[in-house]
Amino acid sequence: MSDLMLMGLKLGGDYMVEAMIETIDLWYAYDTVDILKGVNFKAERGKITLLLGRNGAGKTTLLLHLNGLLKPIKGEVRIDGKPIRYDKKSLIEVRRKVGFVFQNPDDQIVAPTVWQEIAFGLKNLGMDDDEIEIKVKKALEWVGLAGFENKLCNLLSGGEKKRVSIASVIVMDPEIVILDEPTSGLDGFGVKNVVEMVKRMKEEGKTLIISTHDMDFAYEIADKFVIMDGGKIIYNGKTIPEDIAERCGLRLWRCR
Amino acid sequence: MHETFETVQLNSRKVVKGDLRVFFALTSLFLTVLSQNIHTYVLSLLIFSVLSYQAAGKVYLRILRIPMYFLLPSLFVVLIVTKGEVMYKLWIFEISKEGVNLAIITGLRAFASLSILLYLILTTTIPEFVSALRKLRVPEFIIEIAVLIYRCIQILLDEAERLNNAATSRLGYVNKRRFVSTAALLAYSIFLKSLSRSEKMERSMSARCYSGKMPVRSEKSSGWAIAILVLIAIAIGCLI
Ligand SMILES: Nc1ncnc2c1ncn2[C@@H]1O[C@H](COP(=O)(O)OP(=O)(O)OP(=O)(O)O)[C@@H](O)[C@H]1O
Ligand SMILES: [Mg+2]
Repeated sequence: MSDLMLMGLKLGGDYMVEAMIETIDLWYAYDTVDILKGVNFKAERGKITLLLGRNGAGKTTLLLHLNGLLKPIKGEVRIDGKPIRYDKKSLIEVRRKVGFVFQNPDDQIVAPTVWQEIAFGLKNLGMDDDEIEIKVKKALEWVGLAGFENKLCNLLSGGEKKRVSIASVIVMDPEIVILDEPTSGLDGFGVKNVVEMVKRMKEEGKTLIISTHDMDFAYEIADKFVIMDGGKIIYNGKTIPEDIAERCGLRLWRCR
Repeated sequence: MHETFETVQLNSRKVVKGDLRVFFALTSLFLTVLSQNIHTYVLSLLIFSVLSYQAAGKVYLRILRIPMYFLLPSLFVVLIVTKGEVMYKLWIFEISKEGVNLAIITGLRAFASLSILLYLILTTTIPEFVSALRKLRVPEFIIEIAVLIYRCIQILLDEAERLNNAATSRLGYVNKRRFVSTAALLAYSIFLKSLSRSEKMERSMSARCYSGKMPVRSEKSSGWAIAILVLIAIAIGCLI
């Protein structure tokens, strides 16, 4: 394990680059089962970091820590070098900075209509109605759903829901965007669409952290791979070594 | 075809738009219910039947049928229990002139109010209705709760449909005994699902800085001419 980690660090090479968001020795348990066992994760400013690992490796759990939705048992999360605090006011600051797109759009949509869903975050940030109207329109155009304002969210297709959930986060203009399995359940067009959106976000200078099982998608966009297994980060680098891929159940058949 | 109120509301043709539609329907309803005049009832019934039919087509007639099942029997009861000058004798029932009068008035009034309500229901989604409420200065927290409840109902129906499909496709309802046990299982699963969904919804809300505010959007009102004309007509009906 430790020599693997060392190799990862060497391969990574850019270890000294300034981190935008990082976790230091993060521990977390649901009930009594340890899920995160000392995770040292790091994502750099303006880069796309891919988080990989088998089902149940703890990817979603780790990501939920990054904008304070879960509070670690031990260790800390740092944004721009500053550890996040868990009082109400600091959390709002954190969440303004770190947007989270959930794995399942049904879990994320909280309002009945598309317009309300996308306006939700803005309203909570205290924006006035005229400004909200303009921003929502822009966000809908951004994800290619112009004219969907008055549709009801429960009548949309899976891919449309996904785009609504991305729009509802993008519209708040966070510096860091977390996408938890953005391509699950999407067809080829949908995946292409997400790839394009992710690239556009990067161009706009956002830092992206993405978990996925879709290796084609991962290779298409990644600046860096981070692989989790057994509650720890076991690899960190620009390519994926075959032996690690095999051990962690990564779907790599096309790339061999 | 799978048609729900929501799809009907979204696809209906609307001559009166925006918050105005809600106020228009509510005012008409108010005038009609308060009026003591049979002309008003006939007028409202005609106008709103036309409006509803224009908006939603046959769906209007289909839905109108449902309340008929209990309206007609109750009208019959009104007809026979009202005492007065006897006109016909039907077996043991005596039908009086007053009875006929009262039944007609009650019936017309009920159908007039129904047609107005159906017009509102067939053309207005809950979010639109809520946005009109906000114009009436209903307190913010009631609006917030209304929006949240509506979203929760959507989620609940969604889960129910999914579970129901899962059960049906595996023959959950083959016979009466299986029906009962499947239904019980389903109710239990929906309960658990709704708990976990509510947890996720809360998480999603706090991920976007939830502070107790729900956005509500008002569409621009139009169709003033029609709305005002109809209201004037009904008001005149009240006065004659
Ligand atoms: N709310 C919860 N309560 C209890 N245990 C949980 C809860 N959420 C997740 N777990 C457990 O934590 C472990 C890690 O889950 P997590 O969702 O982080 O995995 P993941 O890497 O995102 O997996 P996947 O690729 O399938 O999404 C799993 O074993 C899961 O059973
Ligand atoms: Mg996950």
